[in-house]
Amino acid sequence: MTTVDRGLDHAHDGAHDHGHHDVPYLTPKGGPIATVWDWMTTVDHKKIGVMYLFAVLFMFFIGGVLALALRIELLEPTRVVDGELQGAAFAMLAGGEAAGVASVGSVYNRIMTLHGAVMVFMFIVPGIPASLGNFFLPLQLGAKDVAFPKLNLTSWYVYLFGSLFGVSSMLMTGVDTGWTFYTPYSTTTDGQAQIVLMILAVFILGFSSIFTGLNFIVTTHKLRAPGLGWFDLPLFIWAIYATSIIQVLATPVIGVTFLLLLFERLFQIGIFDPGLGGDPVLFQHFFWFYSHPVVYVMILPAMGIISEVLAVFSRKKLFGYRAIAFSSLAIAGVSFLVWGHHMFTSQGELAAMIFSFLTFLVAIPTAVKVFNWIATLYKGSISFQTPMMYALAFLFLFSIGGLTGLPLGALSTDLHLHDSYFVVAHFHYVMFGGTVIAFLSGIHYWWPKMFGRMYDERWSHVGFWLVFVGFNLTFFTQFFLGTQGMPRRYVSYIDEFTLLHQISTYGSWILGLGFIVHLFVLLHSLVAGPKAPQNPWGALTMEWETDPIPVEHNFRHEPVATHGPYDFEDVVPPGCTEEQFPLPPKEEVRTAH
Amino acid sequence: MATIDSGPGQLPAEDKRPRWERYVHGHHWRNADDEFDAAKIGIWLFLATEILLFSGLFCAYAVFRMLYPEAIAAGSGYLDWRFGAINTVVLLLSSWTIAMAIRCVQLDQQKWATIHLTITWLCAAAFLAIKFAFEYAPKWAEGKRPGNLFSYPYAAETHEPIWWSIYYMATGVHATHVLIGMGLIAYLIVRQRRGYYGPKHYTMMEGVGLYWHIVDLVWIFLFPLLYLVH
Amino acid sequence: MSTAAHDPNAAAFDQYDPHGFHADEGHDHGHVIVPWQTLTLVLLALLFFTMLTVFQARVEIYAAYEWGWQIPGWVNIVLAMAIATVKGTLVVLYFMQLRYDRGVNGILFLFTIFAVWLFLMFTMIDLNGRNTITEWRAGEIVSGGSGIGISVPAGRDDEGNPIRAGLSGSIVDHARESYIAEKGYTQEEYDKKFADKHAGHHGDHHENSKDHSRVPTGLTPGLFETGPWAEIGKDDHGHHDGHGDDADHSGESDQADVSETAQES
Repeated sequence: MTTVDRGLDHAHDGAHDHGHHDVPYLTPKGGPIATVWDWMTTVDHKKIGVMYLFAVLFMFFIGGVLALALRIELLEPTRVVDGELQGAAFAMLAGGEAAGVASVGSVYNRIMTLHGAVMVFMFIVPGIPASLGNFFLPLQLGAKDVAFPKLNLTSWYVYLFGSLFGVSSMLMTGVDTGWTFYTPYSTTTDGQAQIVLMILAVFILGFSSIFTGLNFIVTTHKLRAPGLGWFDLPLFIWAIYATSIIQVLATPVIGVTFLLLLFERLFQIGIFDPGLGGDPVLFQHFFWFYSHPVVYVMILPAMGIISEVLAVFSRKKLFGYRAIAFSSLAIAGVSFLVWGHHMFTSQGELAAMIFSFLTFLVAIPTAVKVFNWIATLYKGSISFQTPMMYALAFLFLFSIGGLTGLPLGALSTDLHLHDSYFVVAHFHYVMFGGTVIAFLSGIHYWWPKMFGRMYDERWSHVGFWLVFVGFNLTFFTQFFLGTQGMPRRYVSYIDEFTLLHQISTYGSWILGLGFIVHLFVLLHSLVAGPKAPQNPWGALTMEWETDPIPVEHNFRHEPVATHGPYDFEDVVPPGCTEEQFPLPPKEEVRTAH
Repeated sequence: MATIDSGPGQLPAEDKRPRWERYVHGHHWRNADDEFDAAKIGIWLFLATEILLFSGLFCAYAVFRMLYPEAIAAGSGYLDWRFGAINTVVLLLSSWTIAMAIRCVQLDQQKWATIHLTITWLCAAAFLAIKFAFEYAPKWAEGKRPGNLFSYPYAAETHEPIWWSIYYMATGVHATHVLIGMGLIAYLIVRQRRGYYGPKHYTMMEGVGLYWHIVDLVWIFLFPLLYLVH
Repeated sequence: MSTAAHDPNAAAFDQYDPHGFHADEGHDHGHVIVPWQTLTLVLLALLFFTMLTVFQARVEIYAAYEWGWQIPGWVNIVLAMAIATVKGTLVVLYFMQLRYDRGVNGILFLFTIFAVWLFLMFTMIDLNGRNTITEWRAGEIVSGGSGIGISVPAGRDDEGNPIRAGLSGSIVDHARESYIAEKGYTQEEYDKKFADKHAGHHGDHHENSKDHSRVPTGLTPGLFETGPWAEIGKDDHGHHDGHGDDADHSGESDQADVSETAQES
């Protein structure tokens, strides 16, 4: 792709374009207060993306600390956290007890719920789309901004506002309903104000999600650079597009569900309350009609990142471009057909059978993706930088996560595994081993473009191995726990499970250490990292055509697509020389396909 | 909704043309046509979210109609279909007037546009007035309330409180949309009087119009479901 | 994608005539001006269908009352929804101009409707299936959701959490009992008042009215004093006896249904 000045700029643009809009977007505007104000009121998708990135990572930190707290409590079959440890290590726990939460069990329940709610609603759903998607979707499209920049800013503030509700609920000792808020428990358990705040938080965060998705769909439709047809789009865009469809169509349902739940909680209107003739299973239908599609909101952008990274770091045209693109849409479509597999034990049998059958449809597009990725690696010229390491880890971990989904989707085996640690392990292999690992891959891949600095490759490899080993120790053991009958969400367990639980807890510490290493590597890079070149990885998508740190309006001139996003065999990457990324001889290319 | 209407008035003040003629599209668009199309796709996406929002309420209705057909029929019997019908007519009329208002703006018949918009606003107000004065207030006072708040002593069916929950939630969410629509239409009237909308720029009007039609659409389905059951 | 992106002359596009009113390019179908005759005709059609749906409902009631036709409940909903769908289609196609609009918006709308349909259909499938309780599970399953015999929330504690207290009946029973106690009525007095309130109810199909048309009672007095339908609400057939414990009856029969199904299967 080349940038050509095609004279498309309008008269009123000319006035701005040669002024301050040519400076890198990170350059401060005047003094500190002016800069802060500039960031707070910016409609620049890059700044909003960066703010989102730090916000979701902060939420990830909170959720992670809560997860470590859970694992410590589960170190022994009986109560671990008490006495001084309680006061010293976990302000949450102490706060809970001080506020009159009766037993350690209910403190545990709160922490478990908050871990789930924070991770799902405040970290992983907005996670990749709102941060990396916001930053790179317009760049990859060659656009100046998203379609509705002000709506984008609104989405950010709505997210902040919603998170504020969630955090205030937490500071008021939180909720113990489980992140799924199943009725009638969530309408009758203690903590009126906290639960109402948390319900409102989820309700509000839904709007942020809708705004982001709406913006991305319209941007993809209307702001593609000249020459960039639908099948010239990077697969990250396809994934974000499919994600956005789900966000727009599924999120309103959680809105109305939580609106009903709010009224149920406040006034006992009875729709979900069997005591008043209502139907609690109806809540589960409502909830999962949103929350199942939304797990694809979590995983699809991750798949998009993996498609990018695998192609770039194996210097090879992506195998089966169209198959991957359409499988993203297929996953989005199928995601609306399978929500009932979360309710095998609570719904009628006919519905359960239909849902079980439909659930297996998800395996098809997912497997299409995985096979295509592996075929891309075949005979590629692979280099093992951090993003690639994470992408390869994704393939491994996500396959485990996906395949363990099959026994959960099969009705008969699920009745045994339902609500056990097997589900916990499966979910974390898909969400952590899938989404978070891909998120890390994406952060490392795009870090030079976002902040214009390189990071220390050796230390980030150390971080990678700590995360990889820690993750597997933490969650692989939980498959065994689950098949042996350890139910999820329990604060204590029988002695036989002690060893596996302890391995899991030690693993979580290694995992935590890995994140600390990454944190320091990236902070070091921000402060003292070497300046990044325009295109350190030799990628061909449009975001690498702009300056090392993009300017205000992304591109100095409107870019024009002249080659596909993965034509590594034919094109010298923009900003690179042929010595850096030599093109293969033509015959070799032919035999490789 | 400001985003739909971004970037007006960037031309010098001495320009005496009406504002809609002076309108300049957002800087990141290639031309105003693209901007208009994008706004429309955006609005339709927003309408999709609205439809799915209401679908939850319709789903709850369907579930309880299947579970407790007698209670739903008895509950519907407490409503006067004549108020429902009047409100339907009022909303249909307002849908027509806002469609006409957009047409007038497209043809630069500004005076008629104002008249049509004003009628639309009045219809919305009438809808809410009928809803509150003749339906909500007396029923609430009698104790015909949702769920645990129920205190009507002459109920014939055990599950009538559920009916009232559905009724108040469905019409309440709809009435909220009507209220928001009134605010938007009032905003339109003010801006239209100031000459913001004309043949070359009426995106905001188109958007509010579509929103208002979807409010009407939801009521078209709510009316028979709530008032004409037996 | 609009042609503009590929059009090398896009820059020359007249910004002040972007909608092509005066040009004759083909890509201006976002900006159709619908003739007022069309809009008005659509309005008239919508009003007609509103009348039709009301008429349909009234005919059902009239038939049930006058001729004793037991029209099944599904007829009501199918007809009403069919008419509403026609009305909705008119609104979407003409008022919302989807007929003249870009294809992407239409596809979007259809996909939305499809999602709604999925949502409703699957939930309905489950609801139908939930009544079927296989024998081996019958022992452990208690039919819930009846709203009877379960305590109702009776207050709140200091933090606002609901407290459940031991009321044995439903909320409807509770409302009735506390009203009778408050007013000091005897059961006969209450029954008399109940009969007045429900004067429109029709005694004939009281026993088996579950799936059939019934007469509404909520007409506002004096709104229409004349007309053929005015007679319906005034006719007072005796159905006083036993109406007070109607609630209990229907509740018991609900539960009985479930247990019967359980035994059958």
